[in-house]
Amino acid sequence: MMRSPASLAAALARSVVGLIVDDGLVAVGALAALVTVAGLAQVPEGTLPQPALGLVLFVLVVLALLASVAKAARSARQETTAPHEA
Amino acid sequence: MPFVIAAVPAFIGSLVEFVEAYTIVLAIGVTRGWKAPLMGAAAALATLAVLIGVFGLSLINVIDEHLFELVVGSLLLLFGLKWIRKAILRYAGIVHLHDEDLIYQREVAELRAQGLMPSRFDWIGFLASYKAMLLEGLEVAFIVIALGAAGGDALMASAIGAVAALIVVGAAGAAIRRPLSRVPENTLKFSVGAMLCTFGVFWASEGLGVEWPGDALALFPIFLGFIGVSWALVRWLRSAVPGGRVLSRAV
Repeated sequence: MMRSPASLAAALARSVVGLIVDDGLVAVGALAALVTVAGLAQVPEGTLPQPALGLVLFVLVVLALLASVAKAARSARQETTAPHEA
Repeated sequence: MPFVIAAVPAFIGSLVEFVEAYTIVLAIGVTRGWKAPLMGAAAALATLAVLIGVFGLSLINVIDEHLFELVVGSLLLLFGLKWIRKAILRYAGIVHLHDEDLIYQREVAELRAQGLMPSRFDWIGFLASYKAMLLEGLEVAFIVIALGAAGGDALMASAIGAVAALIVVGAAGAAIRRPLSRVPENTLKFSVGAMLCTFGVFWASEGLGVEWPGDALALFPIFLGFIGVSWALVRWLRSAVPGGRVLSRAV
């Protein structure tokens, strides 16, 4: 069966996104961290020390990773307590 | 130093991906003969080389330096988080470890079920090998292009790292003719994931105008930070989900 160009493009887009992202929470968290630091970088010079912004990005990314891993742990615990629902 | 910074993560990351591709090519070769799968793998490698040449060189030469650092850093960060997250969950027993022996047995069974017409060129073997090498190799191409983003000789260094990994896996595979199940894939994925996150944070923040003290020397404490946090998460997961509980679906 021939696929339409639109469905082919959608499948290609899904493949490209899947190459980079396998959990939406960590990806959205990382992008939010980048947007936050981009916003802080606009603050007038001297208000925030430059190295602190890098540290802020690192901490926010770690928080995104922590949230994603915690979500996986919660899912694993739920499957343990209710195995028939899996 | 810049050569090592680009070549080492490219080598380790590519090693993991080529081991996975080798398992599939081996299964095809053993069950259906070697000509078609080797040609498929070679065609996929040629495709990847073109992708790296076209996208790598054009991205480096065309895009503004700060924008390029931001885009590549962001992509590296997302990609690195994907790898390190999966490695953490595998260490904690929440996601299955990658089992090359199991994958090999499954592939062999599937390929035998499809049969073979010996008088014709084995297109099934060719396409299966091409697809496996291309899919695993796309991650290699991404790593090579992203690590080559530093400009200068960085693209050459990361490409050399990837080619070296291909040679090592090819030589080891040709010597033992069995799945390379002793390669500590999860440990490699864990360390490369931390490296990619490190480069991602460093380049994305530089793209946003952040200046790190010590410039590239700041990579080391960031890397140690990611390793430390990730290992702490593994320890925490092992206590939070005792004995592990492999999830029945992707997380």
